[in-house]
Amino acid sequence: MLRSTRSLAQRTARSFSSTATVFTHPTKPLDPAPLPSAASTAPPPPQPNASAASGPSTHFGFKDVPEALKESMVKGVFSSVATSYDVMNDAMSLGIHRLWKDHYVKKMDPHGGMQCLDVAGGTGDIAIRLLDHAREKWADRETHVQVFDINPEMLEEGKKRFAKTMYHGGPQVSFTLGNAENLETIADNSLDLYTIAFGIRNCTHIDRVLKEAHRVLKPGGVFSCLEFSKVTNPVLAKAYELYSFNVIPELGHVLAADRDSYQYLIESIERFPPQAKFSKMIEEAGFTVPKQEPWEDLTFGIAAIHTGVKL
Amino acid sequence: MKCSACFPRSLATASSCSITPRLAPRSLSSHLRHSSSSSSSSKPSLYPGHVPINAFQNSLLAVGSAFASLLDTSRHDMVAVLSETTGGPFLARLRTEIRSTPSGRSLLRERPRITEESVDLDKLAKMKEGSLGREYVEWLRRNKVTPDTRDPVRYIDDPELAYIMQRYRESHDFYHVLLGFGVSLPAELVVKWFELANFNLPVALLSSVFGPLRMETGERRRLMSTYGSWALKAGAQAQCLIGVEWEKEWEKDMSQLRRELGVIPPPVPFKAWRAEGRRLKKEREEQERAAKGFAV
Repeated sequence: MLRSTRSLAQRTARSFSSTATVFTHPTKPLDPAPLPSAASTAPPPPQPNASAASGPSTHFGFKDVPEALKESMVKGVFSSVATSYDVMNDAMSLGIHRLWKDHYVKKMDPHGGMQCLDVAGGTGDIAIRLLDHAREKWADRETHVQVFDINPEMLEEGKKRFAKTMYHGGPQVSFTLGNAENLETIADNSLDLYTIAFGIRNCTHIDRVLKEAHRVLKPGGVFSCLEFSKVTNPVLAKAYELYSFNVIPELGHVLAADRDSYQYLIESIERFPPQAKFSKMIEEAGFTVPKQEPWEDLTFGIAAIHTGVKL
Repeated sequence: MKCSACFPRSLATASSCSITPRLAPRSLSSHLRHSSSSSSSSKPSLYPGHVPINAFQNSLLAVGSAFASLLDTSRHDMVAVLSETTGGPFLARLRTEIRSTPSGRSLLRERPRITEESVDLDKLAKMKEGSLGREYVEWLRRNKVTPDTRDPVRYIDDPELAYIMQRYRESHDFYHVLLGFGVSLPAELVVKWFELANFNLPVALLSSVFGPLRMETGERRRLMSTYGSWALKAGAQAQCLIGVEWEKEWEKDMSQLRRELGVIPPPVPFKAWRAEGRRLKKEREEQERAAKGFAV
């Protein structure tokens, strides 16, 4: 409504004065407000759904968006980055993300025919490592991983990755499309291990994700989350921030032809709660967090592994 | 006035390169209310799509896009980024040139865009044979491009200079039509040489010098000897094409337009040059086959 009033004001001003200041139109970069004759041919700017716009808002990176829309926006981001996801991860973290994921899986040490759920499993990095670890260290071919993701393009990439491994078409892996906040297809108390790597910060309601995780795990089951976190050392924190905001979006633009998704990435990392707060959230969902090591910092706190056990 | 920074409206449609240019869906732009802020630069966002970057980011993008566009010649978005990050003082000189003509001044006032919406392609297709509008539509159809395959400008800080860069990008197709070249790599290179002489932009220099390295030596030499000196001479002699209001010249006959703008025709039409290339290649292949036959 505000937009149409402003464009009306602009058009009126324009028609009265040839020297009136011309403002650029909000949805057409660098254009002055369209003239009345041209306005009929130009399509109206897409209006957000009235009910969604009036609802509660949440953060999408540094922007505020209606809560109901965050999910589809995140979906859009990941559809966009799916094919270059692995290339970009390697470029941004200089390959260190592989070391993080190797350590993460080694720490969990899956074996003994576990039922695992890898949420936001997308391209299958964690799932493949879980199965490989069980096989190589324990000669375990019974462990099953369900790769779960909200985004169809990411899941497709995961299926492609798995097609290159020996687990393809076998009983050890399955793929499910769904929302981590509502694991309706999974029964209560049915899983031994719930993993979520670099996914939970994209969820709209982290508390609901944690509650669902608690529901589907068996008593004695483990919740393990690998996520970006806060760097504790202030000097390194500044260096990390400079690197994030100056290098990563540019890398995204050059390598993946997508600056905005990576701008969202670094902003969402900033927005994610720090280690202690997230650990508290895990406790509030009903998990028991080990007292000696409630979380483990990786690479000075750039990433952190949070663990919780359902007792 | 606080501009809202929307995600750009369109990127180049998926081409056959390995990393497909894509962006978050269009619907995102209507939902983002507040301007994006990166802690690296506290400059405000001056026009929709503007991303203020600092000098370090600028140089990183310039170097990155230079390599990316050379390694994968279908990455037009990388050439676009290169043009924005290396514009600098050269764009300001271009602005002075535009301001010196009445049509250029009118462009800067009105800021018309050449996109799918602003150009009525059906009407142009019905125009007289040999007119700019008709030739333009036929060129688009022959080369399978649309007016919308150009990226919006994001990294230039001055809105007026950003418009000039956007105009340069959108008018690029008209230079093709004016000179009579398509969108293949050799044809694009000739147009870039012409642009270099006409606009003196660093991106044109970089593309003109490094672009030909992507061609085979023999073809490259043939291209340079046929069109090299002509392109530079024609570009230098012609009027500065960036100030031309293409929208007002749809009905004009092409030969008259070329005369008015001072564009001298190429020594050999590109189709003939390409046909000659194919003939030479066939001859070479036959010779090789004959040589192999004797060796056996």
